[in-house]
Amino acid sequence: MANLLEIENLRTYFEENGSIVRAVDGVDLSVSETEVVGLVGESGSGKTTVANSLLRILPEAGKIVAGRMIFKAINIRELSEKEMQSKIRGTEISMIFQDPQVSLNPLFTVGEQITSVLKLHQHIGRKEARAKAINLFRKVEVSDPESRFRSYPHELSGGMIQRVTIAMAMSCQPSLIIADEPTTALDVTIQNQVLNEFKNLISEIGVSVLWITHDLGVIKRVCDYVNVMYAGTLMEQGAVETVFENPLHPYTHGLLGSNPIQYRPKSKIPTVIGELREIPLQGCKFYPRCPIRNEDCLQETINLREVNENHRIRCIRAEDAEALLRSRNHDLQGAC
Amino acid sequence: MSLGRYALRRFFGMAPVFFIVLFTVFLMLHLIPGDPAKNILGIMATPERLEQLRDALGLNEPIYKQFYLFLAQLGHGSLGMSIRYKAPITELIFSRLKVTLSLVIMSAVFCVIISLPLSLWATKHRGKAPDYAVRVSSLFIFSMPEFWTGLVALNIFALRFGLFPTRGWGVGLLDNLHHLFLPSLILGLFLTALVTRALRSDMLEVLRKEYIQTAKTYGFSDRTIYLKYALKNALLPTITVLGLNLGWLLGSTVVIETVFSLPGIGAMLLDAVIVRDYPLIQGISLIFALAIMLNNYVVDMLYGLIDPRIYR
Amino acid sequence: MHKTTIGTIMSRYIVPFFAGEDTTRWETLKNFIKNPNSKAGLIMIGILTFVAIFAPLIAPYDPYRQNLSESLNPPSLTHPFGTDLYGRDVISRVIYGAWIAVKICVIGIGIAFIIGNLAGALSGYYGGWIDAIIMRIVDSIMSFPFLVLVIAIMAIFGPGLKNLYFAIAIVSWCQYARIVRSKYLSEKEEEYVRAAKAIGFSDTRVIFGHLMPNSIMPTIVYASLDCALVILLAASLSFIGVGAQPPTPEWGAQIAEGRQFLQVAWWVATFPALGIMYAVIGFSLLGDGLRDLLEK
Repeated sequence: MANLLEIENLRTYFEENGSIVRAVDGVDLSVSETEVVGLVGESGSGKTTVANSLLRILPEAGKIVAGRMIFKAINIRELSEKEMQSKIRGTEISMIFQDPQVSLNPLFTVGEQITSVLKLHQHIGRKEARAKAINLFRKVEVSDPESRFRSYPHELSGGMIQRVTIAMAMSCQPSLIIADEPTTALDVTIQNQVLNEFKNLISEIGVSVLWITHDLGVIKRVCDYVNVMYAGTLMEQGAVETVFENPLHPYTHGLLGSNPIQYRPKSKIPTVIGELREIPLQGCKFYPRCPIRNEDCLQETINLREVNENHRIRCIRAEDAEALLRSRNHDLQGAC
Repeated sequence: MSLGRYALRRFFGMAPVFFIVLFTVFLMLHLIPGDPAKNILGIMATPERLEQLRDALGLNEPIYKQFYLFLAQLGHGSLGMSIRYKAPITELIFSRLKVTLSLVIMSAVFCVIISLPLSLWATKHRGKAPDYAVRVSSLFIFSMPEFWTGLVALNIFALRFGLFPTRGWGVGLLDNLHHLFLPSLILGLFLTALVTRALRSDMLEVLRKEYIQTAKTYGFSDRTIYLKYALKNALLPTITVLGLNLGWLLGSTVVIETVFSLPGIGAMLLDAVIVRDYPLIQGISLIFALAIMLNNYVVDMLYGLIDPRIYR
Repeated sequence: MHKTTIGTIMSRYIVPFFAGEDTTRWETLKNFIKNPNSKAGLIMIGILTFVAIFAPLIAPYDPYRQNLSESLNPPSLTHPFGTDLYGRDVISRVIYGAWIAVKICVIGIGIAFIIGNLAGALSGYYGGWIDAIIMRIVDSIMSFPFLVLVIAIMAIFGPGLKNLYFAIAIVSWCQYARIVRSKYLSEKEEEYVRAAKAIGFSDTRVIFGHLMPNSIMPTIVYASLDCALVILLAASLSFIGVGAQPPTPEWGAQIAEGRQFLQVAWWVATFPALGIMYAVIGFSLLGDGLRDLLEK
C-alpha cells in the first residue's frame, strides 16, 4: 500500500544576511493512512520548517531547494500556488498551530472564521456552514456551541480556542493534519484534557497526523511512529515502542534522558550538553555535542541505515555506543 | 459593557474638556494686551464709540459675570454679533458652512480614492520599485507647502489653461464641484501622503502576524487575505491617523480658501483677524473646536465597532 | 554637587544615547549612521544648520537691501536665484530664511519640548489630580486645529516673529506631554523605579535621574518630525500675513510676496518653496531614521 505522504530528501534553505541557513537538510519522512507520525526535536531543529515546506507557506527568505513531497501520488512541490490554495491547504492537509490566542484573527468571531473556511472549500451557504460549524464545535467538546460561535477569540480561554482550531482543521475532512505543538502553549492543567480529546478524535475519524513537538511524553502517548530531528536532518526513526525501548542514537538517548519522565528505570539522567550551535560542514551534525564521537564521525556524509526492522539511525558508532552507555549508566547506577 | 454604554460614557467624558475649551475661547477676548475696544476700533475712535463697543461686548462687567453671560448666550444658541459684518455670528458661519464642509469632504474622498489602492499596491510589492516610488513621492508631496502648491496649480490649470475657475464659488452642484476640484485635490494630496504612509506600515505589520499565516494555511488566496483580513486590522490605526488630521485639515482650509478665494469659514476667519473682529474669531474657533471634539468622538466609536476588544 | 550633576547627566543621558540595552555604543551609532534615512537626514539638516548659522558669511548680498532698478530679474550669474520686486537678491533671502527656520525650530520646539517633558513627567509620575488637570488642558488645546489656535494667539498678541515662537510653543507642547506621560505610566511599575524609590531617592531624583532618560528618546524622535511640521506651519502663517512680517525673509512670507507674479517671475516664490521642501524632507528623514533606531 502506497503511503499517504512520502517526503524524499527535502531541503529547505533560508537566506539571512547574506549567509544560507540550512533549516531542513535532507529529510525523508512518510506517513501512511490512519497513522500518527511524530516529529520530535528541540527548538531550531527545523521541524516547523518541514511543516511550512509541506504546505508551501514559507516566508520570503525560505526556499525549497531539493526533494519531492508526494501526497496521494502527486508531487505537491510542483503544484501551482492556486492549486495549493484550492486543493490542498485547509482541505486535504490542514494545520494546527501552537499559540491559540495569536493564531486567530482578533477582529472576527470564531464562528465567522470557521464558516469562512467551510464556505471556501465546501462551497456551501451561510446557514449550512453555521450548522456544520456548530456541529463541529460539539464534536470537539466546545461547551455551549451557539454562544461560542458568536464570541471573539479574546473572550475564550486558551483551551477553548485550541478546540476551535482543531474543529477548523477537521472541518473539511482532510486526509492529513499537521499538529505543530498543539498543546505546548496551553495551561498545564488543561494540556492533558485537550490532548486526550484530540487523540480520541483522531482515532475516531481515522485521519493521519503529523505531530510536531519537542515533548517526548506526548509522542509516547499519541504517536505510532517517531522521527527524531536534529539540525535539519533525521537522526533516528522508527516505531514508537521500538525507539523508546531501545534508543540507539546518542541524541535520542540524550533527549530521553533529559526528560523528567523516566523511560529507563534505575538510570541516572544523562543530559544533552550544550545547545544547537556550530554544525560541522561534513560528517555528523551532532558531532559537537556527542558524548561518543571520534574522528571517523567527521568523514563524508553519514546516511540513515536500517538497524532493525522499521528502525533506522544516522550514526556509525551506535552499536559501540550502546555498550558504552549501558556501562556508564551502570556506573552511575552504582553511585546512586 | 455594550457599545451603547461605552458610547454614553465617552460622551460624558468629554464634558470637562468641553468646559475648558469654552473657557479658552472666552479668554481670547480678555487676553488682549491693552484695551480690547481700542484694539478693535483703532486709535482714531471716539470715546463714545469706544464706550459703545465696550458695552456691546460686556467688557465693563466683572469677569465672572462676563463668563456667565457668555455661557448664557451660548445656551441660547447664539455666538454673539460680528463687529465687522454686524450680523449674528451663527448666521455667518452657517451660510458659509457648506463651502468649507464640501471642501473637507471632497478632500477626504480624494484621499481615500488615491491612498487605498496606492498603499495596497506598495504593500504588495514591498521592497521593490513601486514601494519606493510611493514612499518617495509621499515624502515629496508632504514637504510641499500646500499654499504654494495651490498657487502653482491655480496658475497653471486655471489661469494658464483655463481648465478651472480661478476664484469663488459657483452656481449649482456641478459648477460647485468644478470650483472645488483643484482646492480639494491639493488638500487631498497632502492627506494622501500622510495616510498612505500610515496604512502601508500598518499593513506590513499586520501581515507579519500569526493569524495571517493561519489564513494562508487554510488556503485563502492572497487577495482575500489582503482585502478581507489584513485590511480590516490595518484600518484601525489608519482611522486614527485620518481622525487626528482633521485638525490639520480644518486649519488648512484657512489657507486654501484664501488662495482659491472660496467663501468659506476659513477665509472668514482670516478676514476677522485682519480687522480684529474678535467675537467672530471666538465664534469660529469654538465651532472648529467642537467639530474636532465631535470628530474624535466618532473616531472612538468607529474604533469600537471595528475592534471588539475595546468595549467587550 | 555640581560634579555629580554633570556626572549624572553624562551617564544617564549622553552615554545611553550611544549605548542601547545590549549593544555597545559604537554599534548603536554605527546603526544610526548606516540607516539610509538618518544618513540622508543628518546630511541635509547638517547643511541646513550650517547655512543658517553662517548666513551672513554665505549670502552674497544683504537680504534687506533694495535695488529697484534690478527689480524682478531672472536667475543669472550675479543673482543665482534672481531678484524680487524690490530688487532684493533672492538667494540671500532664501539663505537667511534658513536661519529663521532654524530659529523657529530651536526656540519654538525647544520651549515646547521642555514644557511638554516636564508636564508629561509630572502627569505620568504623580497621577491623580495633577494628571487629570494637565491632561484636560492638553485635550482642550488639542481640540483646536493648530493653525486656528495659533492664528487666534497671533490675533490677540499681534503678528511678528517673536510672538510666533511663543504661539508655536503653546500649541506644540501637548503632544510631547502625551508621549512622555504614556512612557512614564508604563515604566513606573518597572523594577528599577521601585528599587530607586526603595533606596529612598527623592521623587525629583527618580524622575530626572531614572525615568526621564528612558522617555526622552521618543520625544526626540517626535521633535524631529515636529520640526518639519512647524516649518510648514510657520510658512503658512507668514503666507497669510499673521506670522513673520515683511521685510523679514521668512520663506512663507517670501512666497506671499511672490504670489502675484508667479507667471512672470516664478523664481521669487519658487525658491523659498524649495527651501521649505528641503528642510521638511531633511527633518522627516532624520525623524524616520531616529525612529528606526528606537524601534530596533
